[in-house]
Amino acid sequence: MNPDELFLLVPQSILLGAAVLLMLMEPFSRQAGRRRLRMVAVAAVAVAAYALRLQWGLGPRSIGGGMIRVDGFSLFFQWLFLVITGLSAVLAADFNQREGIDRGEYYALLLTACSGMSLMAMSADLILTFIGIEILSLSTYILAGFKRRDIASGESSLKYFLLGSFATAILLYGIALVYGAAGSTQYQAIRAAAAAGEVPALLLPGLGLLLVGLGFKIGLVPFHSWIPDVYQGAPSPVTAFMSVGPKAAAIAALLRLLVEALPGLAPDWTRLLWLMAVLTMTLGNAAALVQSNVKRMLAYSAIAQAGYILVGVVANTREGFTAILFYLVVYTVMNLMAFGVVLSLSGPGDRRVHLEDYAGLARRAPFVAAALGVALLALAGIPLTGGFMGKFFLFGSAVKAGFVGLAVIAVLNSVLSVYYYFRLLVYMYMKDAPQGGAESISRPVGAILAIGVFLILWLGVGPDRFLALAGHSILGLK
Amino acid sequence: MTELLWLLPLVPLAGAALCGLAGRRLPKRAVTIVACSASGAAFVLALAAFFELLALAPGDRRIEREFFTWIAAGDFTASAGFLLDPLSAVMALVVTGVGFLIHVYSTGYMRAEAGYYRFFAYMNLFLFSMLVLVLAGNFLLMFVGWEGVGLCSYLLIGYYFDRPAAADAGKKAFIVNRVGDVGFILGILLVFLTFGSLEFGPVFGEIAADSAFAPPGSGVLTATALLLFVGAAGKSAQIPLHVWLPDAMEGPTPVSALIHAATMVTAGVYMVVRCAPIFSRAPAALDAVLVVGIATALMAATIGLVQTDIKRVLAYSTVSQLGFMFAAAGVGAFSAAIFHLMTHAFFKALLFLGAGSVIHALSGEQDLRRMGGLRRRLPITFWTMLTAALAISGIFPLAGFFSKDEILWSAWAGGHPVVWIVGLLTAGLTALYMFRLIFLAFFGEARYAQGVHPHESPRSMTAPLVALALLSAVAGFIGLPAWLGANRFARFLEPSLSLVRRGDAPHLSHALEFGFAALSVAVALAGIFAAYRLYVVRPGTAGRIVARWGALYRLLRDKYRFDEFYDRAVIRPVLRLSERTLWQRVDVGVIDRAVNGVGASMAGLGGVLRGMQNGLIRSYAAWILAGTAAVLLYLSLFRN
Repeated sequence: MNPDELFLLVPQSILLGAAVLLMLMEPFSRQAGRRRLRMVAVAAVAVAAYALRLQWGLGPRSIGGGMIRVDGFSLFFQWLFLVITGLSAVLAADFNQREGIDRGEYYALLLTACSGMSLMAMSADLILTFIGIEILSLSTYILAGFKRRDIASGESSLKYFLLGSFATAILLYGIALVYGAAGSTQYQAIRAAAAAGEVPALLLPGLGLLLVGLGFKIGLVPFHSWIPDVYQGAPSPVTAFMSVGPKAAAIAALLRLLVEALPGLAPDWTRLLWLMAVLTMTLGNAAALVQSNVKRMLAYSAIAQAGYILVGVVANTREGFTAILFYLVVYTVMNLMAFGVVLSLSGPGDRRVHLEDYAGLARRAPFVAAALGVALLALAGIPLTGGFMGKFFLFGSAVKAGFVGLAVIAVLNSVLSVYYYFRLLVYMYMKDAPQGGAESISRPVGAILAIGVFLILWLGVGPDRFLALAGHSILGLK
Repeated sequence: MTELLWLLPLVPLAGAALCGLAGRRLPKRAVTIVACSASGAAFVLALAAFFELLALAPGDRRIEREFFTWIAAGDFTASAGFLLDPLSAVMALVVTGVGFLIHVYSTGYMRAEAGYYRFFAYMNLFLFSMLVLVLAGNFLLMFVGWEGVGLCSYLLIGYYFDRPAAADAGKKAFIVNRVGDVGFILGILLVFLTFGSLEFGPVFGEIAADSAFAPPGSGVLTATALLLFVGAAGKSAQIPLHVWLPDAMEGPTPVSALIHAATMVTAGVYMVVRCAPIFSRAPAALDAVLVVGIATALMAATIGLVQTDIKRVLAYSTVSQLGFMFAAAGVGAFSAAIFHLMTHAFFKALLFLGAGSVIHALSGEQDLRRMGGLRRRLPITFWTMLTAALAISGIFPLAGFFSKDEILWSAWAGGHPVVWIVGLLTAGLTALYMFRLIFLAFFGEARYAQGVHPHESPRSMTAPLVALALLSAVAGFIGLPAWLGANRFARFLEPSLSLVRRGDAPHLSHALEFGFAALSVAVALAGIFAAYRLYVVRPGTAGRIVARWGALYRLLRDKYRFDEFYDRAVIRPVLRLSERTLWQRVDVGVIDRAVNGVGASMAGLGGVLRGMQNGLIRSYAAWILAGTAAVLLYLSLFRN
């Protein structure tokens, strides 16, 4: 690699370097000095984001012999991941102190996870995609079990690890089949192999297995079974991170794989993903209806939301992909807000996560209730919020691509989802609190909520700038 | 200043937010300061914008500021942008100026009311919406302001929501306005379908170029203008959508003054004038505007003769004057319509605020039959209201004389002698009902309850009265008729109306115009004299007239029975339809069953899913395996 190419990898190096630094600092810092560790992580994220800024406008580049792509698409996702990672670190701070797990490894693992996610978005080679997924997965397996003394956390981690390994094995098998069919793991080579006359026989099962592996990470039905248990058991800040970061990364990898390597099989994968989108939204929403645990409800909600995002993939048009990128931004904001409230209110032991615990919240903590309310309205897709605009663009792209049935099902699902999002609102605003006592949230979380409310309303009223940015980022995909 | 145009509506919005969100915890004094300084600052900003506009050459007095692209979906784009031209500058000045005075007045009038902060939050919000309406640079943003002022109106009509009459009046205003808004929305849609844009500039430019697909007098333009006029008739209370405005008097009196007299209800007139390029090329629609306007003016004036509630007299007077403005637009005298809108804002706001002062002094009494003799007790209120009454009656040289006379003259000059005669008759009736009010309230014996000791209102209330009285007295001089000098107002407004299509004005002599003006003053004086005879000299005469013309009196008292007609023709059939058919059959029988069915089956599905989610890793792994098999099978089986 020449120095020019190395420059493009500087953001990754910063993240990994900071992770190593955090590991080294951890044994030497006292309890009081933990804040510094957090600051290192946030600073690394900020510097990496700045380094990325310098790459914007360079035009699409391929490095590492065509393995790594640096283009608008990967830059968009890398930024998104950095924001998610930074926010997760901030959201976790108070929680981790409260639960006694405020250790340097936590932030180091967030940074390595972020670097894994970034690789997934940049990769134009199945092997690198696999490596990215593994870096991300190993980090999140540990994060899920970070509360070592807590049985639920341990169970969550183990379940995630075992099922994740299972899915990874399937993914690897898929890579092997595709390699067998195309003779290469590079996306461009796979594309060329599929384009030259007859599609190789092994490519189709290879595609199927790759979709299973990525579908597991995204949480598509029927590969979603791990999500409720793992989300519920993991420490709340980790759940917050998992519900947005890895999901977005897997969608980025999926988009690049399907659009750059397998456009020749588009009729096949749109057909399959159509069905999976319907199943994912419907089952996610149906199961969310009967949950009384807020974390679990949000877990099912995250499954259903993945189904909505898939609608844009099925559309298989620039508009669809643009809508996906836009919606991922909105989804990140609203989900992090919802989980930010949940983890702030969950109390000692991360236990107060039932619907009843939210009764009368509007009176005990009006600002927090209002912020959560805005997030829920956005998740339900009510107009004037970014959630509405995002769904509008997603479903609109499906209609334009001729998938009217899918759009109708998606809209009906959105209507259904209003029930459980609003049930939480009803608890907050219309039920009396069982016991008084004002809730308090930390100042950084409060600031994130305030910015989140602003962003959601902004994206809902004036989505143009973000839409243009998303549309510009999509140009890298080809 | 024009760089900061966005600040103009935003200042009252900030005031509304501050009062609404934090008002409950703030002391009343702080709310007062916030609300009044927000409206005052808006007025100063409007003044600054006005003078900046004035400094430009007349042809350049058109400043467009686009803030951001609001919606971009396919071919359709709408920007959030303001248009500052003479027309919107005049409107912004009236809205903020009168608005500020009424804010000051309200601090005295609403002093003892619960929810003081809520009142001012709505009032500031109203100013914001109204400014968005008049400054909007396209139809869509105008519609946002349009709905915003409507919302504030409903909220403030229903301000005393614990009084059923107030709550009902709010509902009525909402429903009647919905009818008008449907017309407005359809009109906007038609504009977009025809011209592919909603920005005023391109749309009106296209129309003014007499484009091939929408030539003057074409069906498209006529339909567009008629639909827009339906919207205007709803907001500005014209026949047949006028029924909500008198009931709207259930709101606090400052609200009646600001929203239901001076500003919001004139939005329809403003809209018609703003769309003058369309209307002036749709003669049929313009005729409809003229007929509806003049008929409303006459009808409302006759009803106003027999009302006994002081605020309802003024409400019908407002409806009648709005009719005058539409009649002006209908004969193509758009600048006269805006001129009358402005002078009317001054004297009608003054009349309402004076009425509020009377009501305040009599501890809530609104019935004219239980007033009287207040002249000496409330001297400031009396003299200011008298000024306003003379102004609205069209007595030289007060403001109303110039604006009303310009309308009547335009009607004659435009070749509408019938309109001129009806207008003249209405002007006489206006003087009659207005001085009936003055004589009943301020002259004669005191008829109010024993133990009530009327007293003049505090300075915070009388100061706005005096300010408005000065404006009512002198504002007319900016629009002098030709026989007296130059109409500076019309000349200022000219750039906004440059795209209007005009016919050839017949040249009539100044002497004739002067003669007509003298005649209309004479008619007004006759009306005042009649009122004097009926209510001061021989107070029993009115009763004898009622006894003799009983049927006519009852028809007027019952407001031509519009409400009864709507009740029978619309409300009851709709209720019957919704109760028997829609509710009991369709809703309960079909929809409820379907919804409950879906709900039950989804909950059932959820239950099944919960059963599947048994927490065992081996069964999860089995699901994944089965899913993988299904994926491979599906991919290979359904391949074409």
